[in-house]
Formats: sequence, C-alpha cells, structure tokens
Amino acid sequence: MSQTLVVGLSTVSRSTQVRLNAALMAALVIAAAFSLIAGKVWLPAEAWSMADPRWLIIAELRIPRTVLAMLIGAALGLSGAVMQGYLRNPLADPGLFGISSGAALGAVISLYFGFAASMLLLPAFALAGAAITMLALALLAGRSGSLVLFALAGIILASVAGSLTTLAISLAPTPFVASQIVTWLLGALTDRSWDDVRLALPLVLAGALLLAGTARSLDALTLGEQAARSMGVDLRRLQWLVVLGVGLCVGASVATSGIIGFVGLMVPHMVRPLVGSRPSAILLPSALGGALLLLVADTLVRIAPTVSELRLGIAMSLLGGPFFLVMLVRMRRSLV
Amino acid sequence: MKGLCAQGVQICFHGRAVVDDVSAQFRRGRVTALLGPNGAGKSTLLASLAGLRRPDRGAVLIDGADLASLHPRERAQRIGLLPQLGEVHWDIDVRTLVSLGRLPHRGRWGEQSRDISAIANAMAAADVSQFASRSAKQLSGGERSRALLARVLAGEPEWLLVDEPLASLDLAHQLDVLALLRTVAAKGAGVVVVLHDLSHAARVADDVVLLKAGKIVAQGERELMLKAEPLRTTFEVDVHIGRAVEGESFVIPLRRWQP
Repeated sequence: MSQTLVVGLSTVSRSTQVRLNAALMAALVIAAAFSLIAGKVWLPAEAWSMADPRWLIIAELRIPRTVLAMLIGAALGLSGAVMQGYLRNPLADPGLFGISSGAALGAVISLYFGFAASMLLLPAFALAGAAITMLALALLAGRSGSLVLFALAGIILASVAGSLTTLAISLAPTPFVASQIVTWLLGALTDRSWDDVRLALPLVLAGALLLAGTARSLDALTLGEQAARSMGVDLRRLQWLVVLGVGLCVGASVATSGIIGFVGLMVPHMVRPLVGSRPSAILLPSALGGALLLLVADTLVRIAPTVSELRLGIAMSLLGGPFFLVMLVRMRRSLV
Repeated sequence: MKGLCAQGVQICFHGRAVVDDVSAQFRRGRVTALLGPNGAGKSTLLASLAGLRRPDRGAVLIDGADLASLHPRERAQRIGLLPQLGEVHWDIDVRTLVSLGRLPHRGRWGEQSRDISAIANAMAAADVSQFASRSAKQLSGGERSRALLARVLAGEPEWLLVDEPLASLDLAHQLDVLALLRTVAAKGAGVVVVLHDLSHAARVADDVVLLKAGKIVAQGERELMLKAEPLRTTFEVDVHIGRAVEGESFVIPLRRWQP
C-alpha cells in the first residue's frame, strides 16, 4: 500500500516538472513572437517579407535582440539556480562571486580608454575581466574546496571591482565618457546585433553544459558537505564546474548587455513553488523562466510610453524590489 | 583480508593527532560500537572509515584494497555514512530526501524500479513511509533523523556507518533504530555506530571499540569490553553493570573516577 503511494508520488512530481517545462516553452514561443512584432515600430504581418523595407528591422534588430534576450535570460536564470543550490542559500545570486563585477570593470576600462567605438573591444575586455576574476577566485580560495572561503573571496573581488568601477567614473576624462559608462552599467539590449548573438551563444552554451553537469552534486549537497562527499561528490570538481559555468554565462551576459540584476535571484524563487525545491529539478525551469522573464521585460521596456527607452537593467531592479518585498511579507507571516 | 580495516591510522588537525595509530578490524554481519568520551576521535575515525578523510599515516582497507584507491562513486555505493549533523537545506519532501540516497547508484535517466523499491523499503524500515509527502522542514527532530537514516539505507550499502543516530529519538524509536541496525547487520552488511549510551551499546553491539584521546583503549567482543575496568579507563567513571530480568544488560554511571 505504502509502496504504491510512494511510486505515485514520484511520477506526479516528474510529470509536474515536464508540464511546467512544456508550459514555459510554449510561453516562450508566444513571447518571442510578440517581441518580434512589438516595439517603437510595430510590425504587422505585411512587414514579414523580404520586399518590405521593414524587413531590415526584423532581420537585423528584432530577431537578434529577441534571441539575445532569451539567451541571456536563460544564462542568468540557470546561473542563479546553480549558485543557490551550490551555496545552499536562496539569496545567492550569480553576482556573488564577483564575476559580473569583474566583467563590468573590464568593460568600463575599455570605455574609459575610449575603445567603445570598436564592436569587439568592449566585449573582449569584459570577458577578460570575467576571466581574471575567476583566476583571482582560484588564487584566493586555494584548493580547499571550502564554500565559506569561496564566498568570502567572491565578496572581496566584487567589492574591489565595484570600487575600481566607481573610480573609473570619477576619473573619467570627459563627462561624456562618465555618462557613457554609467549608461552602459545599467544594462540593456538596445540595438544589439547578430555579432552579439554570435559572441554570447557559444559561451552561454558551454557554460550551460558545465552547469548542467552539477545537477546531481547539487542534490547531494542538500544534505550538507559531509553527506555529499560520502555520496561520492567531489567538492573541488563541483566548485570549478560552478565557477567556470557561471563565469562563462555571466561573462557572456555582461559582455553583451551590461549588468542585468535580479533575474538569477528571482527566477529560482518563482519556480520552486511549482516543482519543489530539489536543486536539480529547478535548473531547466529556471533557465526557461529566466529567458521568458527577460524577454517579456525587454519587450515591455520597448513599448513603454517613455521618452527614451527604459533601461532593461533598471526595469529588472524596479521589478526585483517589490518581488522581494512580497517574499519578505510571506516569510514573516510564516514565521509568526 | 575481508572487511573494513583501519591500519595504524593517524589523523592530524593542526599538527595534533586526533586519531592516533588506530588499528581495528570491522566485520560484515556484525554491529561494532565506537565508544569514548567527547573528543576521543570517534567521528573523525568514522569519517576516515567512510573515505572522507585520508589518514595522514596508515590506511583504511576495504577487503584488502586501499579505500583511497576506490572510485568515489564505487566507494559511495559500498559505504553509507550518516553524519552526526542532520542537515537538510531545502524544503524537500521526505520521499525526495530519502531518494537522494540512491544518487550513487542512479543512472543518467532518473529512477529505475530498483531505485524505487530500495527507497520504499528504506522508508518502511525507518518508519517514515507515513509522511512521505511531508516537508522535511516540518518534521520533528526525531522524525527527521529517521528520514535521514532512511536516506542512507536507501543506498543499500555494504557498510553502514552512523554517527550517534539516537540523539533526538524518543524511547520507542531508539529501540526501533537499534533493532534496525541489527537487522541490517543480520542481512550481511557491516555496521559501525558511534554511541554515547553504554546501555544502547550493550543492547546492539557485537563488538566494541573503546577510544580515548585518539587512541584505542581496548577492543573486542561486547562481553569483554562492557566491564568496569575498561569503561573506567575510557570514560573515567565508575559504572554499575546489571542485567534486567528480561536478559538485557544495562550500564549505569555511578561517579567520576579519580585515578
């Protein structure tokens, strides 16, 4: 009797997972279609032919922007889910290792020296910043595999990179450069092209592959480090999978679109009530959910009736505040 | 050499030997109790028997092979460890919690029927089937330790290493878990258990290892170990050892022993 009950439970949770992923994919298709039509210029069905002059907008602006939004959203959502599982902390965020701050610092340095005109230099600098941060993490945390040391090293690097970024702004050679840096830091997907997609796609795919390899170990870590190791988890290998995977995903995102916060933090929280809290169960839904969230947000900032387009990074932060307020209120209720 | 075997194991933390030149032989089909005062090195020895802490000197052998040479996954399939700290970090249900014990066995494509039956058996054995769908965070301390024990049992290990499994259990479940350890041993697995209560050890153990300050004071069959003299040397207390009408031995500490 109890056995059938247990078997039943497992199949139910499995099918919930499949259903959620299918629903997210369907929503993603709809959102992508809407994203292609919507914007300052609306593109009705007649525009969808090579002969139409508006086709250029679709092919060179809308499609790459839509693809990039999904790519980056997925990268950030997945990174967030892995980071939370790895640190066993629901408030962990892909920015915690300092990799995004490092990448941002790289980009800021290229802007500071006026390299922004080149399409390639800014992302190259950002990726170099991400890589250097990962290397510094390795040197600081050593070979211990200790999680606390690692998080601490990440916080140090994030704060150093953050202060250097502020320094670059305050020492900017012209007010124009300063404002260019600040605007870039706010994160956006405006006017992104296929070049950006070509840059981000392989990096995000490689990073996602590494992160997918952490699923089983993250589940084991639910029971603490000692139990995980007794179940055969190699904590040092896991650490490097997480750092490299998050580094590639976050590095690629920052390099192509600046800092977009809260996606990695929020999406896993949205997914957990639907599929349960087991870390491996939320990886795919978090990637899909991140893609959906960022795509919808980017479409909304495009059609929002503002004079100049609302920066996506700001929009996400505006969304993040209330989201966590709701969570806090709910938590407080359950604690009292 | 059959079984799990510590050979001259020394483990140091910050230059201090926490486990010092420990040699002990653990056998399949038997329950061995590791006994000793706080800081005797019981948990550290247990961790090294589980392959988590490589000895600084000496070695742990499993059926004659160095434990360190085993692939972590194979090691995890053969040796199950229940740590003292019962951590559960996410709000998962008990069934999911127990299923984690199958991780070392599971293939790429999720649970097979063998996994599912092992999980169900483990849950029944640890008496947690009735709250399979309850959140692990909502369990009482004792229910949670039983769920965590079920997690280790689900892996069907050849060697079951448990660190103070009775700490937060009520009397009835203490007896259940002790009986469960005996059942596991009777089915052929080797059980090594750290215990604090000597009466529990008297009830469950076939063999006893007495540890103090990282060294073995004495080891052997239960009848020889649970006697006033070795217990006094190990714990620095005088004890009364009695036998209930039903035949169960019990050990009562009387007073601190001043050498």
